[in-house]
Amino acid sequence: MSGPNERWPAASVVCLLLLTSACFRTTAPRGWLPTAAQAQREAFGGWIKVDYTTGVAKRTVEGELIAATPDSMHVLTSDSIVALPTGALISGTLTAFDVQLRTLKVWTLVGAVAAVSHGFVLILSAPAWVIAGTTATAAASRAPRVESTNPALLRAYARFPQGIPSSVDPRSLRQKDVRTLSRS
Amino acid sequence: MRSTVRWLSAFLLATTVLAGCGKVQTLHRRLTDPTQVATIDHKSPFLKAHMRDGHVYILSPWTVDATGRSVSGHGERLDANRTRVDTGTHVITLDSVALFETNVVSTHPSVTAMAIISGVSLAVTVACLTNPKACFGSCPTFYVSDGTRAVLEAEGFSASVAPALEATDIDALYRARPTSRSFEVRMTNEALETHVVRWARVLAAPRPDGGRVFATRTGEFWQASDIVAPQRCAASEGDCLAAVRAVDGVERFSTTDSTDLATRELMELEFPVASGDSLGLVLSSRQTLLSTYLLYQTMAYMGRSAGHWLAALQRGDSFAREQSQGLGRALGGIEVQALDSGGAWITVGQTQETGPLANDVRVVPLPRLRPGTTRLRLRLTRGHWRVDYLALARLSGRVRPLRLDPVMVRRGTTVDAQALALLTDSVRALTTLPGDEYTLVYQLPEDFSRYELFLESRGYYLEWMREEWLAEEDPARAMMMFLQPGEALRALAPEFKAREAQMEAAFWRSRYVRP
Repeated sequence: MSGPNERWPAASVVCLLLLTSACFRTTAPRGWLPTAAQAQREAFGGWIKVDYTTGVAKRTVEGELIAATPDSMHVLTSDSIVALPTGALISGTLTAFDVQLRTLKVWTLVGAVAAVSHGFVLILSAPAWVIAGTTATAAASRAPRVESTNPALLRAYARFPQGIPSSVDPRSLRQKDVRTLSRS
Repeated sequence: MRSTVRWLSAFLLATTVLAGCGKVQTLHRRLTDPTQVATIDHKSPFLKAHMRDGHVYILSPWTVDATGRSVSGHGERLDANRTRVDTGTHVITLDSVALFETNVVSTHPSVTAMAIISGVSLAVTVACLTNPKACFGSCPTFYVSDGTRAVLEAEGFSASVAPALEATDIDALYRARPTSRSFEVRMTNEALETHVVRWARVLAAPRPDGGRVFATRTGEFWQASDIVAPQRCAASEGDCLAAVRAVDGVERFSTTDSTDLATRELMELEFPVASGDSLGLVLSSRQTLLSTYLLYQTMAYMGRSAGHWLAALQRGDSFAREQSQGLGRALGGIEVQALDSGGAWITVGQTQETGPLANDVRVVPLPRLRPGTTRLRLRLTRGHWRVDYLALARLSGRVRPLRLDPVMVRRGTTVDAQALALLTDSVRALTTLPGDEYTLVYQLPEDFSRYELFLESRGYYLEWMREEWLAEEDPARAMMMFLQPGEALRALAPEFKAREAQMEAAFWRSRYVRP
């Protein structure tokens, strides 16, 4: 018969995995987002996913936010730059940086498993770890996120917060090369 | 092995905390118009100057010149595709800048929350490592509703640590407030123990108008009225009246003597009148962790031979049974003393309830005391008792309570007919393991509010030997615990004294419900 000492960690890990799956997830390609520390010394826009209407259908576009001005939003996708009139925007979710959720998930997992060292107290401490870890991870997952189509809120995270300069041909803009990112 | 797991857990968690603390960061980004350069955030280690032509300078360190017309710093200039154009020291005039961007990185608040729970978790681990005997529970625990919340009201047969010591225990459900005839008692196994519960009955004794019913140590039930708290209570620390005036969880207790754990102390009580017929002293008390510590220390000293001792008890070996009671006798109960006709203090009654979790309310019937008596006193072992309530009551008569077996048993929301059958068959018994929890449902008499409720439980429990204890195996000391309990209480005094202050805190940290 398995006692609570064996059952609780397993149950906690299952709960943890289920609960953390409720955290916000970005659609940015793996390695594309800088960490908060890296974001202060690079000059690309954040990753944005935008829902918009063409008048007859709802479409979605995602890529680097190039500019967000009162009349339009420019998004650099994997194959082109898309200009969207502000009036056509339905919703937008921008992720500015990688908050390192993996660290919190590992931390929570180690804590929940380490609760086995508490003997019978793990009946209290294992769920406490799951609740605290999930809450902390969920809160952290929202930190780099801006959910809005309001250019005033989004422009700080655009490659050109001032708008695309007239001297820059939008078609000449290239995507960020993930390999060039410094991971120091 | 368990100790290794604890050390490993502590190391892993500490390492994770150190590795994770600085990693989860958030970013506060701010844009500043060049005309507002005076308000720029100087806490930002990097300054980005977004130029009108789409280039951007990223400078660190950086400064704003005294006239506010330019910024300068060391860094790089990137083109619109963010390809490096040049690196070095730059002076940028404000009229060519579209916007300044500053970023301040800080640790995300979630790290603080995680650090706090990690600290608590590590503290529990370390407490269990340094003092394994503090991470214990104790015997079957019973919870009832006081009308608003579940309260720990009884711990069953705490002294029955082996089959041969199986006993019946009666606890007052003093704070129980049933709201209907259907009365629920939650029975839990919160310790590393196997509990064998022969039965758990609710006893319902008719209350007198305006009074209560109290049980004695010997299982008598007395109707009581005119219940009066003392006017004065004095002990070694001074006035103790506030602690003993009500059943409120505010308890009077002391610490043990550093040279002899059996050293006694006195509590002086004064009532308006303490003479006359049929009086009883009502006491609500529980033990400190001293007796539990001594039980665990004895098992630690017995080490691998603990099984032999328990087997001897099981066989009904009278010597082993006699010796197993020695420490308890040396510590004693709470003696009630009064002045005799010659002016000497004599013991007129005693109460004793084993267990550190739930306060039990009992009455000690007093003999007829000489006229004019107002003073009583308690004689008890220092650091062994927590006294929550004291009162003098007039005992109006003995009553026989109704004995009620449970009518239903649930585990969670599921009806457990087998558990019910085991608890209502006096030959068989319900065996519970750590984490088990049962709700026992009783059907009270129709006029249930006129009854005082008690819990009568019978059974025994088996402590699980903790691996950490084996390190303390010492047959000579084990023999001393049994054969020379007085000597053992003196020998253990310094060690217990060193742990006494932390023991309560560690114990309550190791449990998930407080009384």
